Amino acid sequence: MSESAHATTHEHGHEDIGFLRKYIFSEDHKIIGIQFMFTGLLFLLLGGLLALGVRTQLGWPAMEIPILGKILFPGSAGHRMGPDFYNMLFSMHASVMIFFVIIPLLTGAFGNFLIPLMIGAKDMAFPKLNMLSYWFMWPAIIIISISFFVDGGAGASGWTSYPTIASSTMPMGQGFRSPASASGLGQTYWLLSLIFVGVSSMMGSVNYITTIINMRAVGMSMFRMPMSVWAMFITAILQAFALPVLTVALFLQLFDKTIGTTFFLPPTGLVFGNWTTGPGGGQPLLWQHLFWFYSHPAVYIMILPAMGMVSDILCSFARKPLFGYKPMVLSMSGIAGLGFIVWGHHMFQSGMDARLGTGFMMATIMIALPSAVKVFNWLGTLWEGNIQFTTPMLHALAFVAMFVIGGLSGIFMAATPVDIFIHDTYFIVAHIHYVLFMSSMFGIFAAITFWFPKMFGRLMNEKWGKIHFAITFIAANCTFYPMHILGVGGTPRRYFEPTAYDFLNHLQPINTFISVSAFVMGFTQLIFLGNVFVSLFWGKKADRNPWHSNSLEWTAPSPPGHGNFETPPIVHRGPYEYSVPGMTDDYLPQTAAQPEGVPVPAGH
Amino acid sequence: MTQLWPVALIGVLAVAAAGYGMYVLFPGLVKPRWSYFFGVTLAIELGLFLVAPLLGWWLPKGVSTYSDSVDALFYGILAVTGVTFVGVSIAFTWALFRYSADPNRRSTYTHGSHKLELIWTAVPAAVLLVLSVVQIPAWLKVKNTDWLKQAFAKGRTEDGKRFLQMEVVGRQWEWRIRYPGSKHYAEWMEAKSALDDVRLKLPARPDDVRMVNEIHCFKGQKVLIHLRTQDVLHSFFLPQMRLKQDALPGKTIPVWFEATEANCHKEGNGWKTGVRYDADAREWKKDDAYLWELTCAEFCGARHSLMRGRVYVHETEEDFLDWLKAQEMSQGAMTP
Repeated sequence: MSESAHATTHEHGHEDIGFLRKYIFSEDHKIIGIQFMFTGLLFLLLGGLLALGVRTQLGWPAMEIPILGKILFPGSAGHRMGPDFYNMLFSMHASVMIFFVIIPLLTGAFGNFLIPLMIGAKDMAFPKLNMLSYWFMWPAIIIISISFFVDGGAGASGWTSYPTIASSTMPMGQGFRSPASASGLGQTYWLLSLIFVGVSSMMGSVNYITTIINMRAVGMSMFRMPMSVWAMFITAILQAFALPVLTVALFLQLFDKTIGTTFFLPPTGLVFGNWTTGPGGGQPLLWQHLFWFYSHPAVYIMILPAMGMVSDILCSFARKPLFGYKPMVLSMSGIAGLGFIVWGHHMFQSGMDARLGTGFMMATIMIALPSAVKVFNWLGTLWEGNIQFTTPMLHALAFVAMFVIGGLSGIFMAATPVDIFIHDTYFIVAHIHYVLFMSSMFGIFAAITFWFPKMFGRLMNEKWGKIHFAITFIAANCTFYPMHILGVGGTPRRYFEPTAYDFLNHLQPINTFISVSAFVMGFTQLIFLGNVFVSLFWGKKADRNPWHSNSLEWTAPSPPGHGNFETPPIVHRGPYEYSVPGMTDDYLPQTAAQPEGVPVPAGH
Repeated sequence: MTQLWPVALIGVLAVAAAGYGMYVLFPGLVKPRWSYFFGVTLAIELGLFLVAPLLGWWLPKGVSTYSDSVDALFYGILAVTGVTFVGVSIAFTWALFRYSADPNRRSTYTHGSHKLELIWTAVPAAVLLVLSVVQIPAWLKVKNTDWLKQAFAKGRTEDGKRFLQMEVVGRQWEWRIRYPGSKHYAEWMEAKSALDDVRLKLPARPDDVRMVNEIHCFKGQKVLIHLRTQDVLHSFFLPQMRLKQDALPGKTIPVWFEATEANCHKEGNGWKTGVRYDADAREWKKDDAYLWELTCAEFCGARHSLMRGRVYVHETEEDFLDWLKAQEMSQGAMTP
């Protein structure tokens, strides 16, 4: 820690609180943010390995897997992967990536780290609640980890966990595997784990909303906040309103599986082979409505923070103000608001009334509009800028270009007649990976490389950062872009054996190409992780403001001490005053005094 | 074609290596710029969508009365999104090229432009609004079952034809199809009989024909499927018909299609599919594009990817009834 950080600690009169309360059960938003970051990166490894498992089967179907085959499938002749294991792989890949990687990294790590620093506050409104929100992830982590080792393995009903395959259980005394073959004990653990994740996020969201509304520094009006903060604010509102519905739905399914309720069991009951469930009193479609009512806003939870941070990074390295501040705020609000009324687009083919489908279709198509406005504003930000191609900037640029592809591909699914064909095909798999990996994950890489010096007082290695970026960008495009073509050909998703079909056989070489690319992409992430860990200890030391950026966090020491700022900041302007005419420097921090001879722009 | 993927992979690596080689050998000639990196990637991606149809990596052949309108909407959206992608990518790549960092230049200090905001909000809004409205009839025609009920109230569909009804039950992991016998089939000329079957969801009769994983119908005849599942969600997906409908436990969902081409004919004692009638040669020719399949498109457990059915579209009603009677004979011999 730097000298000034120690000075801050002494000024506040804090006695030494010991290692446990400083770094483990910390109430400091920065430590909690870093805890979320390392937890998220750890699970990125797990989620990635699960994906490579999926790609192994799809690229080389029924292959005898060397070494791992003997360990993982001892009972199978030829050490081959079976469909039950495959179903677990894709289900857990999605569950881990969504709930243990992207949401913790974007909202847990960067929401926590950035919000107080960027608004000029000493910490969050509720530091103890903040600590609790991180530690509530650990029951979730332990439960989901144990689920891999229970009888029947981890949940294998898809991350969407639809009844009745997910919710059915064998009669008493018949063991924990299920007639549905995919909803044993592991599925029960999955439900429990996600309940903890949801509670963790809800605690965080309440904290963020309160902090942003109440604890902004003097002069930090709402419209002088950086886009990162606006994004975290809107995301927190989404989480606060959508998560309770998911949590309730998870409880309902948990009760169906454990104590014999029938929320999702139809009155006619079900017949599995020889075994009949009793009559139910429920409706399987109910789960889909409840689940997607959360999970659609969830996808915006997974992209909005990245959008906000990308805006800040683009401005910083284009040395140019944000193009259209208020339209950018309005469009994020539009995305979030519309995001609450489009959940039915996941259910167009579900048996829901077709006329409902029309309503959801119109709202879904309109959501393309605020997204398009954001892309145009980013282009406007780059236009006539002075673009420095640093590692964070490269990732941020990749976000913009790849989000265009992901957003445009969504329009095909939004159109209900086309959705009849491409629903549940690889076209949607392509779409989700373009917005989740090619957009959110690149946003996360941008954020980590950009704010690493502020977090740890050291810079990440630029050369290896660029190598990681270049290979990842190419390999990821090679992995996910051809999936559009697979989808157009009609390849269904979640298929263990697409080669069983005549109309799909000619597409199999594409699957192999994708799998090779996926392995290249997967192993390249080791470069990034290596860069993080080596730079932590041996990276070049960073000063307060290595990127010459304007927002408040860059006025604090690197890393900031407890309490963040040596003196409470007073804000004079917005965060995007770059290349102001009449100045020698091409940046003007928010707290800097107004330079002589430089007019104050209106409305800032 | 089957081993194209190593070629593609080597191609990508070759382009990358060539680029790097140019930089190393001729540093003055080609200055490496990140705009090239992004631009080439985006160009290759555009190229893939242009090349894919030529390589046969594209939509399966559409053979239903509504496959054309589904495909037309697909191509319309492809055009709109394609133009947008090209335009945005060019602007993006150009910005990276033209506005690369230069110590002798300053960024333009601007916070935005109201005029531009209005234009790039209004134009996409109009395009999207039009897109959302023009597709409504196509969707409702395929999926809105009220249209079916009204047709049966009149006793006929609007073009005077009746529906060929069958029941499809999805279960782990097969499709069980039940066809009314040929005697009952004849009764459907009476509107009341057909309408009753729709209302009562095709009650089971002792002379029903039962098949597994085989859908039989004939060309030019509207088929009405009473879709059910007995255990978990499945999804009835006929790629060539552009038809997909999830089967929901506890509900019977009406699903319809009408095939515009035939793909099977009688050969010996059985029917062979994957054939096309060549009108000039007046014979049936083998054609793999006429192998039409039924697949499950909603995750349903271990053998979700193995619920594979075949679609047999007979050329004429007589041929279909021939087949139906042949099944009745063989199945009748086994039922008491």
